[in-house]
Amino acid sequence: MNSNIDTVTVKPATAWISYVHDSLHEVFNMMLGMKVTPCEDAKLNAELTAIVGLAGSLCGLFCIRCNKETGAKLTQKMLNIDASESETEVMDALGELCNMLAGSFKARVPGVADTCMLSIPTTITGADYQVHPLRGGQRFEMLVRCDDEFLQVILHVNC
Amino acid sequence: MNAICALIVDDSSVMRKIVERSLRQAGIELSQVMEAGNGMEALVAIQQRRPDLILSDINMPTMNGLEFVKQLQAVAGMKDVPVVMITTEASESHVVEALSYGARGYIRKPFTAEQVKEHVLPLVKNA
Repeated sequence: MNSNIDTVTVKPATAWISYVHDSLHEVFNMMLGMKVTPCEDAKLNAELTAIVGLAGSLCGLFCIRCNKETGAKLTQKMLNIDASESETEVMDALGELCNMLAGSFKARVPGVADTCMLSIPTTITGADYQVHPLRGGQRFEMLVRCDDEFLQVILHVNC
Repeated sequence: MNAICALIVDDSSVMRKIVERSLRQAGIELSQVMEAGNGMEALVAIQQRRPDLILSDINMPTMNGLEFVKQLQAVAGMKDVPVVMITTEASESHVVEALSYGARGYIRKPFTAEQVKEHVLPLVKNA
């Protein structure tokens, strides 16, 4: 990793959101064969969370949240199986999905590929918690629909 | 092509299954699939049996994929085993580092079975 780390120029919100949407399209299409569309309003009981941290020239976190049923269906799609009843497998799949999304996102931000590292995914069960990332920075929340499932995507960037 | 023994190294069991499925979809016949959750486990696994092919993630706990490939070169009889990195870390510096340690290919996650076929099949054709 380059020791001379330059921080990333702050980008307009539309640029960050566009990177996230492009990453969602790439990962869901290639790994799950699903189309992702933005969604304005949906009730989401986000019982499952996967987080990947970004560190280096671009700091922050990339997070996906969904309910248990959606987590199970995404796992089935990833593994091409009829049912996944193992919570460990579902959390593993969500973590890996978040990891690929964060990697795809990072690859789209000009100039950070070599100077931004990804953490190993962390997964959380339960909806009653709060995340307190570094102060400042920009936070974006997006709700997307894939088939009949809903997913919340949160990006927090400090740069 | 004979059936081969593949070692898949990834801290995600879901990803190990996806990689195995992709190898089969690529038309690679597998006589055995060995699995390891990190580089340290992989170094232990190769003592049990010499694989014909290794596919390894980079970002893993305990020992990452780059360190694993580096240490693999020092293990007797392992220099000729083709190693392909499958990882989200696809920056130029990672690719250069992995190749300098002896990796023979690099696939960025997310990937398709077609990409696995394109990168892996030429390496195991004469197995």
